[in-house]
Amino acid sequence: MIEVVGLTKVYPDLAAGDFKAVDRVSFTASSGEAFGLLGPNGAGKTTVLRILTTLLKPTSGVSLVNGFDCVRQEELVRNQIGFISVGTAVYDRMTAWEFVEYFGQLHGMNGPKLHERMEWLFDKLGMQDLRDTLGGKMSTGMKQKTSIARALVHDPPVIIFDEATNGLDAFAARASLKIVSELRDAGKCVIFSTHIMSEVERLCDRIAVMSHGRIVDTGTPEELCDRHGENDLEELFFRLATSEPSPPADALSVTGEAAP
Amino acid sequence: MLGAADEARLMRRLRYQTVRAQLKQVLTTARLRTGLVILLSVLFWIALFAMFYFGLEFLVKHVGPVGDQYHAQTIEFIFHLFFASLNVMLIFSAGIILYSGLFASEETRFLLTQPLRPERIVQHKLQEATLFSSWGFFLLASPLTIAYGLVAEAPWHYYALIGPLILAFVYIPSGIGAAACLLLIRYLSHLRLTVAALVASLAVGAAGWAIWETVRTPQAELFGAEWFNDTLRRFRFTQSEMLPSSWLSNALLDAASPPPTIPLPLDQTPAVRALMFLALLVSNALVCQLVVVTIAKRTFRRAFSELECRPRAPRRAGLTTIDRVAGWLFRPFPAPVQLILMKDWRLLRRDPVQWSQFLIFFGLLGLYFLNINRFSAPGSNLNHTAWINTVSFLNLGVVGLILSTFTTRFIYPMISLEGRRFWILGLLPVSRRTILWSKFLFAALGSLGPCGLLILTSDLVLGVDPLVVGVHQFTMMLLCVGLAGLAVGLGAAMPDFRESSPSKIAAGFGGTLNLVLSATYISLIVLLTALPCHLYLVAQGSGLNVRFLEGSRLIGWLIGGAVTALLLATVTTIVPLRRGIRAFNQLEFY
Repeated sequence: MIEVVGLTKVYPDLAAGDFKAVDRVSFTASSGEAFGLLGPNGAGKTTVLRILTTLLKPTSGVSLVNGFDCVRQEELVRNQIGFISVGTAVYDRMTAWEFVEYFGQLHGMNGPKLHERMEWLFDKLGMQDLRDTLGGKMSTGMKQKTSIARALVHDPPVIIFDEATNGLDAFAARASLKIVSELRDAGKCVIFSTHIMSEVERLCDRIAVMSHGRIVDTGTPEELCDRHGENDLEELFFRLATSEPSPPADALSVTGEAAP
Repeated sequence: MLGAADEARLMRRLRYQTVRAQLKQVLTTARLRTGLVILLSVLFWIALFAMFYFGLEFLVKHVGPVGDQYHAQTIEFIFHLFFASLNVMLIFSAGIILYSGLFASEETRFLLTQPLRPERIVQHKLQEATLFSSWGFFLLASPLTIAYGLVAEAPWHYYALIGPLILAFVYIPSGIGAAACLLLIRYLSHLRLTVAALVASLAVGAAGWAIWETVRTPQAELFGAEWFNDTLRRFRFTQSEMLPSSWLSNALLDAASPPPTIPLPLDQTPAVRALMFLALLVSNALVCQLVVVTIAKRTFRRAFSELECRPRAPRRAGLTTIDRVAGWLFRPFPAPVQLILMKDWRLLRRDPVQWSQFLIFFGLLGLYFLNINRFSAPGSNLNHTAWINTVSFLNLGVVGLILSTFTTRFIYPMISLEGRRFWILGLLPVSRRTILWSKFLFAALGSLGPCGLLILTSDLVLGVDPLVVGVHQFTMMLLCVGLAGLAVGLGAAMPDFRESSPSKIAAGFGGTLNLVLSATYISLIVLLTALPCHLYLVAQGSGLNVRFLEGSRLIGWLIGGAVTALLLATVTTIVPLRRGIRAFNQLEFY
């Protein structure tokens, strides 16, 4: 479903020299799986996700979403994904219903099929009372719900959450996480970026810990704990995230497993 | 809490450091842009100065020399009307800018959490509001006053007094606007928009009524002595001794007067009278400061709280008939384009700040066009033909120039403004090319409707030749398409995602470049398409026998001009759009 091989992103910086935000990252994620990308701020998680969503172009490497190339088949990739970011934004002068409908129509949906899907989403997310509310009048939680509905309206096979619970209150965050787990159970491929360990423990089938643009290690939470002799995932995260990055990710296979 | 003097010193230091940091940043990162903005402002100032200077010279030649009764009356009328109008505008703009500075600013939110006096915060923001609201006033008033000084051969002290007079004056309307803003929010926060809209409508209505009353005079009497006296009488209120604008006008006129030839009491000499008016302005400015400080002390924190805690009903919006009409109009386009056009239309329709400016400008132009034939003199064939052609030609240029300011202010920043919602653009399942073409179509079609209608109104009211009507519509189409292409293309090629204010984006390098290129484009297109046609008709009407206007040559000129204009329009539309699409495609959303 998602296949990333040797992905590298270098930002040119005339003053400080080129900055390698992502350095030969490789991993895969499949249907019905919640794959977590963990790492401190600046580790490169968001850059990887933005490459997957075609917002950024990689310097080198390959990234495929449902078989479509993120560089050469951008529009097809965008049809395969639903992206929910921490930078939630909606049009101030569009209602929640119009906003979600607009995206549904852009994805080629129309008529009863679109409206049935929207009704289902609005019920599911508890949004019926804000369907006619303008974006400019919404709270952060309302905007986030609208964004989730927008990302899911075309029923994409791949859902990407980029620190999507940041800034949400406990109720809204809990509702978002519930949706992630339901999507995973419904057979979607969910890529989930966070630095909150409780969310990882609760949701992710497999995780990759990133530091300084590289994947430090990857596996199920249990595997990682066993491999590094840690019982506590949070302690493990601190250890991996603050350790010196391992040699270039050439050593990682495309399945994300560390090479022997 | 700090003492008042220490607090004031601290805020002054804050201002100094902020300004210094901003200037340093501008000088290190945007020298070219700053240089160009300054250069264009200087050019604009020179053009205004030339216009005022030659206008005032015309007055001296055709109305009467300095010292003549008609000359004095006309100058008084111009100065009082000019400054009174700007007085009202300054009250509104200072009030609105202060409102956003005090009640919708992150800085104010922060300052309110600090142990600062509320009146200090209001003063801090009032300084900004005064500066931002009055820069346009300086830009307009300085060339007028200097041009008048030169034409009237004013003594040196006239020039020395211009600066202090204007400075003292602008503080009064700013203070009134500030006081009104604070009181409105404190006592009528829930009705603030209604009250502001009502007052603005009354002001616009009064201005419209005054203009209408001035031009509705029977045609034969227009510009006659009686009309002149009637007009003076109608606008006599602008010369009321109670208005600060009258003090400013009187001070300037007194200062420009030559020294008396006969001995007068000291307080009757023009120079001393000018100084007394200056003292009057300064003392009133200080009173305004005192009033604002007192009101701020008593109301600001409460007003802020009132506004934050006002009951908020969720605003609802839905599809209206006008949306359905727009949807029907967009039907010929491909589905993704239709959807983007419809989205842009809805966003525009629901933003009164955007369309009301468009409506006011084009409404005033429409009013003028509908009444334009009142100024013509059909009795004289030669003058009538020449006059009609000249006016219809100028109207075309004016509509084009106003349109260029709108495309710079509203269309050029469209892509930059999407920056805050970068992923909306980046994640749309349509190509970025389609997004830009949709923006272009929106701008071109949106401007072609009203502009074409305005020019048609002007031409029909003037009763111009059908050939001219056709040529004007063709020219307007080229202008709308070309200006839209320029604004959308340059907007995509030079986006500014860090700025959230459309006016600041438009005032930047890209916006300035867009305005300059638009003005050049308008001049070229109008000269290529409309000028030969008008020259032909003027020559025909006057019986002139000019070789280059002979039949075959003229047809060549008309066709050649139209083809060249078409080519120019194609290049002006396609090149910036292609460049914009290329830049937009390569754009990465960090």
